[in-house]
Amino acid sequence: MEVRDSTYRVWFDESSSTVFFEGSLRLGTADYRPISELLDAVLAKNLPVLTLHMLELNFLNSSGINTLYKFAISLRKRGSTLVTVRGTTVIAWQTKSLANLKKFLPTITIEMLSDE
Amino acid sequence: MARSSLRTKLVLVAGVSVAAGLLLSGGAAYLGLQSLGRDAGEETRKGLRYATQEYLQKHIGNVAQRLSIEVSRAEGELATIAAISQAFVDNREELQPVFDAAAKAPMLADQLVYHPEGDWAQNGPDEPATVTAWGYLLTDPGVDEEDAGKDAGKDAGKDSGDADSDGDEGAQPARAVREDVAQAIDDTALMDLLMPPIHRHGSRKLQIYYVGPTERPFARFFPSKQLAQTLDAEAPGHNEAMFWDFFFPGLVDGWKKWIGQSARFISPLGQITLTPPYYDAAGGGPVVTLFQPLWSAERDHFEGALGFDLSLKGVIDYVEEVKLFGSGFAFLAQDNGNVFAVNEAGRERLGLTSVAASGGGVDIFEQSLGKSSEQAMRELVLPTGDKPVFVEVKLGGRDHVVALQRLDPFNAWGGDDEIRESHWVVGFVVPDEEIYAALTAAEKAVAMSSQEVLALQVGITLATLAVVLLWLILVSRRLTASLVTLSKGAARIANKDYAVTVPTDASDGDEIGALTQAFNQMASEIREHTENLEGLVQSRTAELEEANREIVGLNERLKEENLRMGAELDVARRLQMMVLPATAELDAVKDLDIAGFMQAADEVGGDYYDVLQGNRALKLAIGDVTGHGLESGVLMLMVQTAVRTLLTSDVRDPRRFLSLVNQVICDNLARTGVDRTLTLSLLDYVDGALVLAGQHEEVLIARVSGVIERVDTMDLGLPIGIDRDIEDFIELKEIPLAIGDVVALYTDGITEAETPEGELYGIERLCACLERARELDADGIRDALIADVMNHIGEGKILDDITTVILKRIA
Repeated sequence: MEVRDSTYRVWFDESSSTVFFEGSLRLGTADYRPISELLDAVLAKNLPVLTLHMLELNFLNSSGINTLYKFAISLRKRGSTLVTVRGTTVIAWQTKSLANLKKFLPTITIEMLSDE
Repeated sequence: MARSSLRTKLVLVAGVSVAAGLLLSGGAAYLGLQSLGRDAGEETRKGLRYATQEYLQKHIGNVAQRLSIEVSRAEGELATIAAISQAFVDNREELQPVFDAAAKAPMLADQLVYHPEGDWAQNGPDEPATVTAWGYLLTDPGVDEEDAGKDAGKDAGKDSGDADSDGDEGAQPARAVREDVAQAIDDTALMDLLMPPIHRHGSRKLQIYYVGPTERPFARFFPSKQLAQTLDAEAPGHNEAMFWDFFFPGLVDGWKKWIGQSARFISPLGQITLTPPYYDAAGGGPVVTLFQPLWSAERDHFEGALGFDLSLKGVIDYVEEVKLFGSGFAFLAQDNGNVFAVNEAGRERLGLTSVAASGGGVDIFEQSLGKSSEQAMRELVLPTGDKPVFVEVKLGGRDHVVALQRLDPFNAWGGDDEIRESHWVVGFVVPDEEIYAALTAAEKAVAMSSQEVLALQVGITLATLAVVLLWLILVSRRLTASLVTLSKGAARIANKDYAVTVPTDASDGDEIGALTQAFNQMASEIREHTENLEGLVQSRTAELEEANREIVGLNERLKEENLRMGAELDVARRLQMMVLPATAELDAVKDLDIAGFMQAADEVGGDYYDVLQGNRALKLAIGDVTGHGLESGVLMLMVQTAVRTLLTSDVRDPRRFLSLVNQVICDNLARTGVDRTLTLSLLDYVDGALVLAGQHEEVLIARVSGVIERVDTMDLGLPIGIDRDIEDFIELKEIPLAIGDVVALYTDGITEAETPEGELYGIERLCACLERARELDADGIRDALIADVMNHIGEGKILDDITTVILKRIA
């Protein structure tokens, strides 16, 4: 499963049970649908664990963040998947926005790499 | 040119491959054959060496046995006659009448006659055996006339009466044999009966003789011959010296050392003593003398000895006639290395020179290995055991095998009074090349056949190469012919001659046939295309015109669409601006100096701010709807309506206030199916204090003191419109404001404003600008900030709505 364009790439790696986000996402609200569908498909697998790998996602606009929040709420409703988010403090938006995920999905683990 | 080069390459590559293959396999076969020959040769060599050694060992054993037998036969005969003689001595008294009778028997009686010219006495030549009494065994006529005259006169007188009638008697006085000697001669007369048959039968003896003890060493000698005369000629002086001392010095003393050794006397055979080989003085050829001493009955006194002169001719002939392989030979040596039997060729091969040496009374011939001209022979060590010994030596520069075998032991007298145990040694000498003659022949044959194989291999290689090359030339001609035809066709096409068809009959089945067909098809298509080009251009032009028409139509429709979208954006923009608080409303607020700013982006974002006077407090709001366009604008309107409605309803709890706004928005979004959310912070101002709720950008406070405070809102709420129940996540933050303190609210349109190079404006620049401008009034601060942001953007594009609200407490 993969969604990509010239500036970004989002894909699910079955073997490591990880969704990778890469590049810069500045899409319009409606244009996030393919990514939402990808995330919904991952959700449908009802995996025991899932990792969201964001270390290479340099920019995510508010519509994209919105999409992530909604995915987090969906996960909370399912309640059975242990989710880990890997982000980095080096990228500004991640410091600001990823913390909110914990509010929508209290069981989530957020691993923030610092630049050291 | 191309044709010949392609063919040459083909033929060359294939030819070299074939030749290399053949040569390699041939070389391997040749090397294999050679190595096989070498291995087989080595094996055969080992086998031959083993077999030869085996053969030589057996053969030399036989020869040694044969030679030992020759000697031991004589020893047996000597022992027999000696045993009888010893019996005579041992039983003298009892046999005395027999001796006396024998001495008187005419056949056995010995009549010795004095010979004045030699000064010795000897019996006549017609007697069975010659008996000689030497001068020192005769009486002196002047001194002891009576005794001597009586005794010698009795015997000699008779004789002289018969023989000496020639009148010599008067010139020299006759001497008589000493009494004891005469008695001893009588007592041994019986030997005349024993000696002839022993001499006649058995081993080849030249002479048999008895010599008396040292006090009377007369000689009894068979066959009869003129003994004294011969010795006078050959050994001058013998008549004056004691016989044993003269001819065999030390021998008797050697024997006497045995007295008292009882083991020596059990078997008389153990006393037989051999001289070294020598040439018989009387011309009897090579001989060796065997002696057996006789002893008194008490075995304490030497009583003379019996001797055989054994001819070595038979032994020597036998050794000289031994033939081994081609030129191999045998030799016989004493254990001191003196070779006494070897043929002429062998003597030369062994590098021997014969030196005549004189020892005592007999000539001993000497050709010692120790004096050989061959180093290997000089260094040769004769065996000290009874096993045969094999030695590899170089003789005359060639390799030889020498086999050595010791014969049975015997007592040897060597010229002094030591009698030692000694051996003769028989040796075989065989040149290596004769042993390996068969192998050498076989190796030659292998080498020959290797040469033949090599020749055959070369022949096969050349023939195969010839056949392969011929075949290659034929095949390549056919192949390259097709290619040449094809390349000619291609050349014609290059020259724009498209009327080309290459004949395919020659090579239908293979790839070249397929290529030719493809070529023809391509050529025909090119021809067709070229011919129809004009028509093609016309039809393509028509297609283009059609496409152009479509594009123009699409363009028209696009313009309409743009107009529609432009209208939509226009509506959105107007909605956004419409609900913003008017300047008059802001000016009406007491205690706070407030300035607001909003500039929509080209594509209208969803920024929102509001300032509303409630019953108790002043309500400020700032928010940012996700996305752009009409839907964002409508959501903003909904938020504004909800806030105003709740304010009007006098909902005072800020948490509940925000929670209700969220619920209203959530419900409305769900109904309208709009996929938007927003961040929203609400602030209540009353009596010099701000109460902040809801998550949005940081709130900046420029204190009168000059300090800039940044208030993070992340923990004060959640984005609006996502989750219906967020009240638990809403926190409040109270911010006291002193007079002159400035508060700045803004959206991310300011912090994320970009230069043309993509560099963000950022919060640090914002803080810095605020610090610089904080002493101005709200409008001044706002203008300074907007100017700074616009300056940052420069020629760049405004990507998002830019919104800010500045508050300054003035009372």
